[in-house]
Amino acid sequence: MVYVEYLRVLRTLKWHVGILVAATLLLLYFGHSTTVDVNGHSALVPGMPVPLGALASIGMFFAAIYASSVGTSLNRENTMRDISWTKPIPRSLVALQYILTDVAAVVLVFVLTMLVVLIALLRLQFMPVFDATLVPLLVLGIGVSVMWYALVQVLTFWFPPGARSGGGILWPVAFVLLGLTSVPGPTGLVARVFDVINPLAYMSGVTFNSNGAHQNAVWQLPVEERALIVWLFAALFCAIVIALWPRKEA
Amino acid sequence: MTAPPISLKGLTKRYGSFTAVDDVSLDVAEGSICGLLGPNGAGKTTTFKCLLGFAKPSSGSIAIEGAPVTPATFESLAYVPERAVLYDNLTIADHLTICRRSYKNYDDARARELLALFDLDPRKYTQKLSKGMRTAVALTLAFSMRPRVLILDEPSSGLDPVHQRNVLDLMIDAAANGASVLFSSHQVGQVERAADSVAIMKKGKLIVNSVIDDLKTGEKIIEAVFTGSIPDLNGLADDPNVLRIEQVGSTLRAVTREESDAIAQRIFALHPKSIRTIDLNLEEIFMNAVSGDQV
Repeated sequence: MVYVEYLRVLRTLKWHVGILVAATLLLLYFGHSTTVDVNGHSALVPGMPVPLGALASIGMFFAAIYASSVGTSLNRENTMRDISWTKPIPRSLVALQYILTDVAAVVLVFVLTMLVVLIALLRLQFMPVFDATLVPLLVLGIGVSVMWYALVQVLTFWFPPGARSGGGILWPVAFVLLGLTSVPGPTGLVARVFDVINPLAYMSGVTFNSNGAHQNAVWQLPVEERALIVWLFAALFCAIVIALWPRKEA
Repeated sequence: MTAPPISLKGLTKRYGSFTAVDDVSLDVAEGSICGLLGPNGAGKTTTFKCLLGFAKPSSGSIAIEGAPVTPATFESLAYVPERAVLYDNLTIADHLTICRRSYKNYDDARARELLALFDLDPRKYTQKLSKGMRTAVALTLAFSMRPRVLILDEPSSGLDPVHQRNVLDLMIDAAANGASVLFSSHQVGQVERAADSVAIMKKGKLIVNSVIDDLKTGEKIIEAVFTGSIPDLNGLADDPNVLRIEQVGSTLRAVTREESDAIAQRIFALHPKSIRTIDLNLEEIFMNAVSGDQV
């Protein structure tokens, strides 16, 4: 059955990769040395070193958008059980195969997006920096994308096909929760509680000033710890789906 | 003695207070075709769901080739649902590839034969197929793995008469090669042509489960026409071999289970103008079963 998901992922990847290729071609054709002003100050000037890891959130966002579409794969399969559950393969293995195929595609989209980011930095004549923070931030970025995928799966796999829209609704909900975090009082507190399972709360936002790039996130934890947490949540959500999806009656 | 390839014992499935399948026991022997009949909502599809492990029985047991249903069961079991479930964004050839990768017994030559039989173009996307063609694809997938057990839920649904006949021929051919077939249909004639045994469900209960020939020889209608009104029947309706009495004007119809000659003699003693004994066909047996309380 993995072949079914492989073909579906391949089809959806064409769109996302197509957009990335188009963005790359546009960059190569139109891109040139530039200065980016933030609040009237030259925040990014040609030749300025930019840590590549600090831009992992770009890869994360693009991969998470892709994850929103493939994260409903088992929900889709709920209407196909007459064909997928009558194959000589354990249902939990079907779920695992689907999830591994989807996650591989999400990681691929992240990596390709970061390649485009790298090309953009070079083309715009900034100096990409491959420092010690790069690997942890990339692991975090991929982890947040995969957690996003797993969250979409866990929110949709048990429900009828209409629940697929959950993948899209999750975006505004996640951003609203991020915004409410800074609200004082109970509202902010509730938002922070929900932010425990909000993948975006673990991702670093990046701000630039003349001193370089700065990271911030809702959870002020070291990057390595945040990366570990998001991967654990992703694994937990996937385990729940793999355990429960085969038990759902047709 | 080997266990029957398809065996249900006391199968019951409840959804809340509603009992969809009520204490159904049914065996289908090797090389046998059993037709499952019943009006809409009788519990046929729910029975299939339980049989395939799509729904958990409330009580009772299910065995395929003597063992509970596991994923390994499907190496030799093929299922065709009432509405063919196919991946709309894949071609027929893609579906065949899925089967080739899934089943050890998949027979590519057989698949090509079946594609030709149903006039299917493997390059077509299934979302562009008519209901009948989708059913034909599902049948192609099912028969191309040369299953030992076939469970078919209205397998000729949407097919034209020629292909309906092909489906019956495929079932008969599979049974002749040792496969066990359980299929449901709303077309009694199909069951009569292909099946050697019939099971009739009504309101979740199995009300008939018999070899078709036994049913035909067992049940008869004795029709008598009287001059004027029908006389007193002297307790005929209470005879255990009389399934039902119908009185319309001066015509009396007695549906009998056994001993039809003795019943005919009792009616003859009432001096009818004419009397005749009619053999039941399967359609009449079905109608008697689903319209009466019990057969």
